[in-house]
Amino acid sequence: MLSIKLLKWIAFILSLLPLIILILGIINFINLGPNIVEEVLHRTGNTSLNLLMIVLLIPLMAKHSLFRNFLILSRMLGLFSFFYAALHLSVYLFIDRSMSILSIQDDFISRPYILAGMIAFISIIPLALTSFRRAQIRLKELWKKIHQLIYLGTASAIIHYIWQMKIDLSIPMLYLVGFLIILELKKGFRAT
Amino acid sequence: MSKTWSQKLRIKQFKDSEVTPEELFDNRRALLKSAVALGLLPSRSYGHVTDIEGYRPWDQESPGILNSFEDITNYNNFYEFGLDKADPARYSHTLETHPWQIEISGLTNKPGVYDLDEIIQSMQLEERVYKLRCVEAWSMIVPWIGFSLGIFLKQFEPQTNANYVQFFTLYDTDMMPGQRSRVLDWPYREGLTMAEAMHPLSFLATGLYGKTLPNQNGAPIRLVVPWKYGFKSIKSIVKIVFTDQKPLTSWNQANAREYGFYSNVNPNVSHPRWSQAYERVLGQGFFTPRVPTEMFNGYGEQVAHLYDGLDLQINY
Ligand code: HEM
Repeated sequence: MLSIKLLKWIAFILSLLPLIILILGIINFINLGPNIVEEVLHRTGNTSLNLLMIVLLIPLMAKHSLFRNFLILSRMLGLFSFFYAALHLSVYLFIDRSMSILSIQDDFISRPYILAGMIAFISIIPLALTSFRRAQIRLKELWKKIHQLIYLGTASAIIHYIWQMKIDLSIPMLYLVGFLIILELKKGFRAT
Repeated sequence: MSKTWSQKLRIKQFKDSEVTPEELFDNRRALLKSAVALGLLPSRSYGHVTDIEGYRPWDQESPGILNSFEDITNYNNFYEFGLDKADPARYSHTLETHPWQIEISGLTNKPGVYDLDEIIQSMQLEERVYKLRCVEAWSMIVPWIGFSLGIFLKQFEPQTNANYVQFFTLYDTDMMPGQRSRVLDWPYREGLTMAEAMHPLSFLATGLYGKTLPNQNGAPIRLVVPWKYGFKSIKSIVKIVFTDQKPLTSWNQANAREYGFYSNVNPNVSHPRWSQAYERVLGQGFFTPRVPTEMFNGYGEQVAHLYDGLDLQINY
């Protein structure tokens, strides 16, 4: 089994990798294609969602003795997911729409996928705020309840993903199926 | 031959700034090559492009700064080769464009199957620097080479009741593997009114940047209708039909509420899921903001009269 320290370092570096790629792209060191803003928007969104899915998977994997240690990664990966979601939102607001209040207002009113994204982001804010150990100890049962919000966050993020697609829904649908399977497995575990 | 517009612009860029995009591209190419060799990056293909000789260069004002050949050939919506914008550059090498025939049928006095080489021989090729505005709210400036659609179509003597022209892309699941997935009802179809098709801006392109069309851009021959969203400009055309009824068009068939028959560029009519008021000009830096979209993509003076009396909010 991997030592906890090594495991944490590996997870940390892997989570940082997408950010490094984005920075290299923005300073034009690597080529992220001619539509770099869209590319950064998509990469931050995808990374955030992938990390949410991993955080959901970890307790299931940890049932297996081989992955027991993975439980300690949840907090770090969850925080990274929040970090990428915050980047994603910032790129949308400050870069893609250049803070154009009119166009953002229009988006919020008439584009359901933006609303779904906002719900996803807002639902994971409390998780990030109460992620540290002291909060967990102090809030006890309430902490567990708060952290159930990850389901709302992930579900809205997937709906957000589906709604922004032009025509082919196969990839976001895979996420949806994955999410439903995770839910189903969790139920199974709770029942036994 | 005098310098083409695109060559002039590249020379101008060279004077204006120390490092041109082309130069950066060359420097980066070595790095990229090793990355490809290591399997870090997919290799990119341009099909078998060759230089085009003897075309009339563009001598009018450009609608903006030309996008690089690299941008134009690596960011394509061509679902016949996959849904990602990088897919056509990666996978379109399976398309064999020689020999190529175009069937002309429907309400015409000269139906038949014509060889593309002979067609190109018979037409005066010219360069047209057009702005391409995609329905996804991005745009690029492309130096096309080809010939006027109207002049081409007139040779086939369309009959008086031919009110529309319909175009078909090749249907071949071996050469176009993306057609195995049913995201659209293949083959791809597009259509124009006769007045639109006869408009002098309507263009059939067989090349870009002084070379024959790379496969990912719709080789060997594609439509370019610059005042309409990009998906109207159908690629790899094998059939043209004159009809008296409004023809089926692929995106309209897939989702009529989101993609109309006309699909003229119009900042005042939003796509149901995103605004069309602004667009991102491709090839700009990360911090460059979007620019406002122009009615008819800036070609309103030339084409607005085609739609006199038509409510463009309804006929989007
Ligand atoms: C936890 C929160 C969020 C997650 C996990 C998330 C995830 C995603 C994903 C996976 C995509 C699709 C990327 C692709 O197509 O490859 C996406 C696209 C996008 N998201 Fe989010 N998102 C979140 C919140 C938000 C918020 C709050 C906004 C804005 C208010 C937003 C705006 C967008 C936009 C504008 C796109 C691109 C749409 C397009 O290209 O047409 N997202 N997001």
